[in-house]
Amino acid sequence: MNKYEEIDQLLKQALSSTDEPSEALNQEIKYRIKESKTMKPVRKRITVALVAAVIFIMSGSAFAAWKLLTPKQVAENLGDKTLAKAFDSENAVHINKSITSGDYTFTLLGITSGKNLSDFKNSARDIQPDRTYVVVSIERKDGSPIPKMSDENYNEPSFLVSPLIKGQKPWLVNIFTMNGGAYQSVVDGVIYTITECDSIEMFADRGVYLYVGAGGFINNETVSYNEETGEITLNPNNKEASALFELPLDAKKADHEKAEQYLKEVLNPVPKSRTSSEALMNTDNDFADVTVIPESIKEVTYNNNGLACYEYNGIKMEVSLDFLFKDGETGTWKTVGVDEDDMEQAVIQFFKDENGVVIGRTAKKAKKQ
Amino acid sequence: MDNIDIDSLVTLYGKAVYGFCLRLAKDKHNADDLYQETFLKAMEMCNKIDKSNNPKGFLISVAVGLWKNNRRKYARRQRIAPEGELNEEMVNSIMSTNTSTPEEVVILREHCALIRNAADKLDDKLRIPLYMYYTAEMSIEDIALALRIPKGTVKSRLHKARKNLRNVLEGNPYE
Repeated sequence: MNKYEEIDQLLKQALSSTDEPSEALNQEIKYRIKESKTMKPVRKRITVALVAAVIFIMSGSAFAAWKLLTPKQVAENLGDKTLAKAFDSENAVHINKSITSGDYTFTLLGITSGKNLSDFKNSARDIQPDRTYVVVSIERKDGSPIPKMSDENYNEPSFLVSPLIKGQKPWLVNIFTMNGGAYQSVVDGVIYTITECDSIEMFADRGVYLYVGAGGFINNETVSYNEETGEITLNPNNKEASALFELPLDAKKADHEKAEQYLKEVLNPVPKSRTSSEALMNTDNDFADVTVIPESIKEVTYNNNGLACYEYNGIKMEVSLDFLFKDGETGTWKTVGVDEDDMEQAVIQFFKDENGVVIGRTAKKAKKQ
Repeated sequence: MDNIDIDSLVTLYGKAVYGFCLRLAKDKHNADDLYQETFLKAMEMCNKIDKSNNPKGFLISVAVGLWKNNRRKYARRQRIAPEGELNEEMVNSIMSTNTSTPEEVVILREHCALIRNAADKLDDKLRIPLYMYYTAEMSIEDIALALRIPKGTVKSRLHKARKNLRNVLEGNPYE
């Protein structure tokens, strides 16, 4: 074999691919193609019927989302057949309530809860098999299309969907602490989000809200909490588009005891991370017994230089993740900065999960006298 | 072209197009996006697809165009959530060859990894025809048609790419 044949053979072996697109991906493509073809005539009928329908459209914010995909279609579009089936069952609640805020209209399309309702794996399901799935659409108020996911301007602004529990501080009990996750797609200029988290049905007798808004965090800038009544409202000073829905859950499904136990675990994250996560054990021993400030836990953002940016309570930090984590290193808290006074030390720590998502947090530790 | 034809396109050329997207975009998430956008874009331009006129080449050329237009987005995503090489696939493809000893398998694995890394770093003018030829298994003529360049230019770019990669290998201590 001469040199040309050798390199040719090696290139064939190195660059050929045995990978195939998933069936779900192919189904999604076929669905989207068929959907776009069937949507066209519907749009024409809408235009003709617009004048007649205008009185009904003006009649209230809860007008039915007649042009939007159903929760079942949204799940199908994302390739989740099991969830699509769940949204077609009697347990699913179809809501179709819209709220317009700023430049956007948010529509709560539907909700369902139960075990094994999704084809997608989520490690949180091993701990809490009962999960809730909520489908929300986000449209521009002026009707202009939201950029496709392939567009550079997609995700600007980004949106957060989170359940909030009446009687619980929203910055402590929310999508981040309830093992949440979200899947998004853009169809015909509308964002569809499926948000999943630990089941909220156990809270059905207390009152559960669904927050949807621009931005990435739940804090006192986005929502207000009434300590006396436990009610949660939108912060009127927040200039970003946001909406708060009250979820119509069946109070019979509430489980007070289970809910109390769950809240106990959510509200005491430090002992949990010490016992169940090897991550904290891997940090410098000097900072193994810190007290984490729950409100400080945030996903980092990235600046133009690719540095991870974290900010909490006036402390800003920019750090290179390449410097912080070795290749492939995940599941470990890394202590970066230490700020101290006479009484205590404040440390900033970063954590990278197996999906590459990096979270920052601030923790405090009393100084030894 | 109707939906049946689009279904056929996905069935007949999905694997080749996906493999190409995976090489070009370097990670699965981006590859899934690029693959999906390729077929959706192809559907928009369906009057240009003809069964007798090399649909695979057309799909690959659509993928190249989309990737060039959106490469900043893909690069940004990769910085945020980098994903590693698909080692399992590499191992499987190697194990299916006639290599006889474990040592030879190890060396071949290292060479393949070296080539993939080096190919990723090539200029697009060399990288894209390389992936079209070796990953999408297109002929020189089809590559020339898809990229709208002369066949001689394709040959010359492939030659340069092979030469570059051979130099990388020759600098490898295992060589």
